[in-house]
Amino acid sequence: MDRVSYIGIRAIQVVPILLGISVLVFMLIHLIPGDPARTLLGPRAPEAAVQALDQKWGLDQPLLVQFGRFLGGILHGDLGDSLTYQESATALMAERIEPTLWLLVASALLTVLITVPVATLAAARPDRLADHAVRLVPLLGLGMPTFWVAIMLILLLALTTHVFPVGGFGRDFVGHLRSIFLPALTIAIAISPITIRSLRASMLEVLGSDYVVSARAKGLTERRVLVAHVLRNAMIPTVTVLGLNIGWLVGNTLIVEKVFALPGIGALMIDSILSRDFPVVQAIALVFAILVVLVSTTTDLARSLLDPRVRLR
Amino acid sequence: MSTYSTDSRRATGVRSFASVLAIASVIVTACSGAATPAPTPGATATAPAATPANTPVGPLPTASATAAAAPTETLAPSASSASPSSVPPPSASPAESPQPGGDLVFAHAIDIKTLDPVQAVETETIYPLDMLFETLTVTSRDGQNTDPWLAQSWDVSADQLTWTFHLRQDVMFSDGSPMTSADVKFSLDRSRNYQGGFSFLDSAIAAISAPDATTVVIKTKHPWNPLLADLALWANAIYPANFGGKAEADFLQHPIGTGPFTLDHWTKGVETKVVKNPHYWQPGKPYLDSVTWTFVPDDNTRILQLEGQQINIDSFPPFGALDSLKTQAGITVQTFDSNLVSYVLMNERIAEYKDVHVRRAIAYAIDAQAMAQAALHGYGTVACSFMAPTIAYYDPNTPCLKHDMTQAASELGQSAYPNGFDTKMLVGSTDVYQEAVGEILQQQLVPLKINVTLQKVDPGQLYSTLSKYDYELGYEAWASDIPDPDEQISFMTDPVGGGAGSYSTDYSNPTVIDWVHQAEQEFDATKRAALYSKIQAQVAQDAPWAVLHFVPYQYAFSDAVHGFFVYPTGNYHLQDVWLSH
Repeated sequence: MDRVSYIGIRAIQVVPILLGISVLVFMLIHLIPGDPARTLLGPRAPEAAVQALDQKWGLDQPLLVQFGRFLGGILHGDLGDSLTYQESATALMAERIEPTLWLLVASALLTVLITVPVATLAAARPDRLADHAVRLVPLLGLGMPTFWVAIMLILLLALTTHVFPVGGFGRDFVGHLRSIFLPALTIAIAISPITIRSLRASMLEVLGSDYVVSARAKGLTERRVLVAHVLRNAMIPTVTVLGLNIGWLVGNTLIVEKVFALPGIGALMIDSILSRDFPVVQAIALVFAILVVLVSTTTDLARSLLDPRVRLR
Repeated sequence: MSTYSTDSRRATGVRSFASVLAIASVIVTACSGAATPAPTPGATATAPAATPANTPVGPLPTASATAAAAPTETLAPSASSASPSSVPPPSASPAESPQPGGDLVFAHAIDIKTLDPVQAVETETIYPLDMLFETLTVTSRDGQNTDPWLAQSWDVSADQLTWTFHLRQDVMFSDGSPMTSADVKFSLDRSRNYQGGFSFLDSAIAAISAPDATTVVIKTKHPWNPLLADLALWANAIYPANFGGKAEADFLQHPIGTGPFTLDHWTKGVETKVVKNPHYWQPGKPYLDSVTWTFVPDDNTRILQLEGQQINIDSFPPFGALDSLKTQAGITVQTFDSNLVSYVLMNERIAEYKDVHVRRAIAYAIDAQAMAQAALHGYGTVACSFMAPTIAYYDPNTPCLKHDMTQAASELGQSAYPNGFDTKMLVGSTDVYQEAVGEILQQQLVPLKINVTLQKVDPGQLYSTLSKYDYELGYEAWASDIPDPDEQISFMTDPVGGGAGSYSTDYSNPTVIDWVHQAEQEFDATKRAALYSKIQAQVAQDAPWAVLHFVPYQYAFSDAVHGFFVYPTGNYHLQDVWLSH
């Protein structure tokens, strides 16, 4: 199957996934006690005013009717309006998606930039000091809570050097770059121990294969053997691991967004849950699902590029 | 009762307390337990004398016009308005001259929710709106009275049913158009007809008219003393009649008012920025070019941003962080007298709490002093009356139920539950102070064999749980939004008239309710004070809630910030604030 057809089929496959997620999220958010009208109008609002707002928003209707209307809206490309901000949920997400996308891309890039040289160094000299260090030190990243790493990075790199801001997203491209570095590094520190170990193990396996012996027998330099033959083949499982982790991260950026005050979509979701802003919660859940599928599809495509034997099915 | 928390933000209320000052090593101690002066009827209210435009002396406006002709009976402005320059803002150094320019950056834990004054409920929404819009009157500096603002004077008729307000003639909206009585009538009519929010405070208004461009006449259904205070509420802010010819929704996307600043942008969930209003009526003000409120939900991040000079003011840093912040160079930590009081509500729809002896037993059992040390890190003070000392008519001699375990055991012994019982307590899950109160209360009620299970809910659930009486014990706090006790007292003691079932406790004492209504219509300050003293004493004995603490407003800000002062009602006037460069 060619890649275009593959992408088309994945797009179709995503429909039942999104439907399932919609049902789940809709039911869960409506099961939580709490009334968005009461939250918005305040404790002094008369009950009649609360009921009138419930009626205006359609929250007095049976759940099935509300869900039907929600699905109908999706089919028309309308994810509903935020109850809190009285603005289209789509527009609200559009304002907030940029920092999250920056965070995902930057953390993936940083993870690769950390993983490849470190794993290569370890694999090139197995069981030597560098290898032991590479196997041990990154494990600390796994053991440290993300919020703690974030605060440490702020204390060590933002407050002392003033090169990076403590939080926020900046106002221009350079500001975004400076603002996103520490959050992305926080995530990269959390993911890279896994990808480093995965890549190192793959490289060691590949280093023992026949074609590497052949490459060396042909007189290629060790550097060329590692970069041109070993790394490319060893990257395949690592790309899968990275893809899985980034997919997991899509739904878990909120801690990093919160600590660094990044106005991303994860932070919006938390606020929306707290204020019972049902349409926004539902819309974000859908977008998260789409992002996870996108990352997964991108991972498959990357594997097929790295290894022509990989067939897209 | 705007909403905000006591620890990192929301809670409700008004109350006072001493403040430590910082800038020039001047220490200002403040009021706390002193009796509060009552408004004095019998004189014409006018704006204070003009002050030099460049003197950062406080919030009061200059006045260019004289008082109106003597009416049949008039009310005096507050004592503080008579000499506005006598009380400089605590954080202003008198020796320094204001420097123009700069962007003042706040970090708030909660995002602004609306640009419509009548819909604003949370304090984080209200404070920025105060910079865009203004009201006819404002809360006085001590929080106990009203001062003239867009109305420079007013008269009240002999039957106390007709109030005539004389508007300032030099006020323009930020688009340069003049403010007239038609704008006032339109804004106040919209506010009082709004379903929800704070329109209940305007319920005594019968009609509003605008006989000429600078006069507004308000008729009330019955004599209504709190009117001046009600008009100081942000929901009664003034904006152009008919929204300046725009559709309501369009206007509210980018509203204009007469405030010192005008909206630059509001990026939802990110920041709100206002810029200097070039048409502001106070000459030379504001000093700042702009003010930005950024949304930073994490307490630690706000503190780190302040340390990193990324923001100028951290709104409501956790009490637990204040001592540490005080040691930081370049940072001032200041607590301002507030009218915020915290309580443990007792739902009288639950059989145990219908029994007054159970309620009194719990009130006696709570060691609020120990609780203040642990939960507020020493920054709160033990409350007695359910009203704050910063509110007019607070009675420091209220006979309250102070911590006494012998009395607690005796009261429980007289109840229908002498052997204790199991109960639940509702606390907000996002407020460190509330959770601490709940956990400490659990321990303090153990000797009475009252076993408390904590029921933690998030803000989205809190109000609906309370309003449905779906709780047994519950933490809550109150901060009055107006400089008059009526808002709080009717809300907390009049289950029907107050509109909220006596703060969802279902407490109802017909005698107290009668006193509340008498006080609303009483224009004699002495008689009114006597009524409020009786109310405070009776409520203390009925113990519909256990009164916990008077909680100050806590801020941490850069030493570059000058003239920042928070009123007991929680709001601030940023036209007087400046940044040293």
